[in-house]
Amino acid sequence: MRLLRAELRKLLGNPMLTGFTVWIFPVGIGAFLAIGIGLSFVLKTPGQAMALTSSGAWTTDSAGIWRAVTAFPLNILGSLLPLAFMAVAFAGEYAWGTYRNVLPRAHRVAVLAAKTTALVLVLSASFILTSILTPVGFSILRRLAGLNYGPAVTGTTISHFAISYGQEMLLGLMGLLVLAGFAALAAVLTRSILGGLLAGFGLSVLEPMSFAALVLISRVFNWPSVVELYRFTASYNLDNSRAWLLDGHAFQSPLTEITQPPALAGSLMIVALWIVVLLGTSAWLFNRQDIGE
Amino acid sequence: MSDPSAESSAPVIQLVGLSKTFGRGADRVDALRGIDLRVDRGHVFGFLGPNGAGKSTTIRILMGLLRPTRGSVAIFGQPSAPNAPILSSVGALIEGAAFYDFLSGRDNLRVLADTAGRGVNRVETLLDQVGLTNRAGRKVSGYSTGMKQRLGLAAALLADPELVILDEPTNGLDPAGIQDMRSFIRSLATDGGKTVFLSSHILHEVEQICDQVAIIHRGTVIRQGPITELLSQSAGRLRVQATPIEVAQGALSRHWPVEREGDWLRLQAGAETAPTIVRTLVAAEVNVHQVVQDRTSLEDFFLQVTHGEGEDAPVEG
Repeated sequence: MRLLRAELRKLLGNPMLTGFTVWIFPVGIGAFLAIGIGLSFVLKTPGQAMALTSSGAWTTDSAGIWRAVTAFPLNILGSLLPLAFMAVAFAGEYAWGTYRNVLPRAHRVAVLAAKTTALVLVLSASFILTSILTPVGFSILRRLAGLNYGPAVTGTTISHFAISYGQEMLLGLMGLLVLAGFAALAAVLTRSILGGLLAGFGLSVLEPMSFAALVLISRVFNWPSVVELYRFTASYNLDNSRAWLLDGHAFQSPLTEITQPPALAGSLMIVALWIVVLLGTSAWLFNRQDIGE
Repeated sequence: MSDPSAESSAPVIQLVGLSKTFGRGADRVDALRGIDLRVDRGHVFGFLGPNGAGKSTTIRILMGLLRPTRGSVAIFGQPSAPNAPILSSVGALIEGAAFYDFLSGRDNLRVLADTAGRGVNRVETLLDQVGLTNRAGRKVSGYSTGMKQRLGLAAALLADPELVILDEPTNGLDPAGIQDMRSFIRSLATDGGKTVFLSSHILHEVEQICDQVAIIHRGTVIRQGPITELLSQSAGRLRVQATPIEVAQGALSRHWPVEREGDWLRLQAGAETAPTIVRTLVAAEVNVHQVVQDRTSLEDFFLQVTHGEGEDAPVEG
């Protein structure tokens, strides 16, 4: 717990980093809604236009931030800031030369685990705050615009919301852990902040976009079944898990070659495997690494 | 948690056949070539060598940051390697202090205390000891090099370690800071009973505060032992002031190797030969003013054993 506290202290003590990559989510949505509410008192049309960016349901708006890091194609952009946060946190220790103070004091694998946990905790706090601000702001904005904002708050609604929000959050946390794996691996391999950022972005974009390469290969080599490999990506399985959890059926992928989507348990296991392999490989490399900086 | 006191008879540090090679093929660099080193309890041990000799590589291996290519490292008799539990009982300031610039000095120490799984109760005491209490709340980005070095020393002492490893601790300090740091380091051994392993390329500094020394040159330890013993090995020279100096030089050079240095003659001869030298000079009708034993400084000794070589010669500090 003390190691986790140390990592949290480092992250929260860096306002420049967390301000631009973590707290920007609640601050950004808060500012957007505040402007919308302010405009509604002066000009009706822009306020109405901003109110229409809401789904119209607080249950959906609230979970939107979690979906931003897991649902393809939104996750390609949505994961950039969390990934930047993670890449700087992992690679910064190399660039600042601080690992020479840290590593004699704690086991390397424990440091990596504490850092990953701290990163996910801080991002989760930001996402939860965003989840609260978003429906509160939209309810005011839509009321001012004369639009409905439902569903009505009843015991049943809240219990359904709690379950679906929990499921979105679970998928979001898994998505963040996959991102942490990419960031950790990129940092260990490049040992620099810029290298970690570029390699991390590269890995996190290549993974969901790998379908394009697979489709190209299938067309060039007349090998349609190769596209089915996309079933093993983390992105696809996060989408598939969400479809199973929230809609009760498998993900309807635009890739028609994927005819047999995995069941929920299979998809969750594949995502978990991605997390274990990415973080495990990072830990293995980190544990064997010479720290010369 | 390892208990250093349980291994009280073991050397504090023991390196056996320690080698480290970086790179391969044309880029291969043999940074350490079979180092053997022993540091006993309660000493201030100087690890002396020019820049690039292998001092920092040795310290990084000691602290589990680098893996040796060959050989073994033991601290308090326990094997040391990356992740070794014994490392948490060692305090170190390695190659200048590196801190999180965005945190205050106090928070940096708290982070390191938490990282080591220890309480933060020693933080304030140590800040006071290194004279940073008044500036502990300021971000480290605003610290001078000297303040960072002092904070680094406080960080090294967080675990109240029995072994303190300091790599060039006076770098960046002003003359008063250097004096304070040297006194503080010496007091760690004399008052605190700690063993200090001090790496430096400042010969004067090592001579002032260390009682034992090892000289590393091109990845090999070429001399090791108590400073007084090492310097006495090289004492075998006398200096003579006599007139006329040309006659004196002629008379002495028949018996001993003689070099002229201004008004002085320097002879390769031990102190026991002084009466013979005086008799020889008197017989040659030379006026003898002084015959003194030439005291070898650590700098002279270092230059003798390294033949003045080195990527960056050590300096008199």
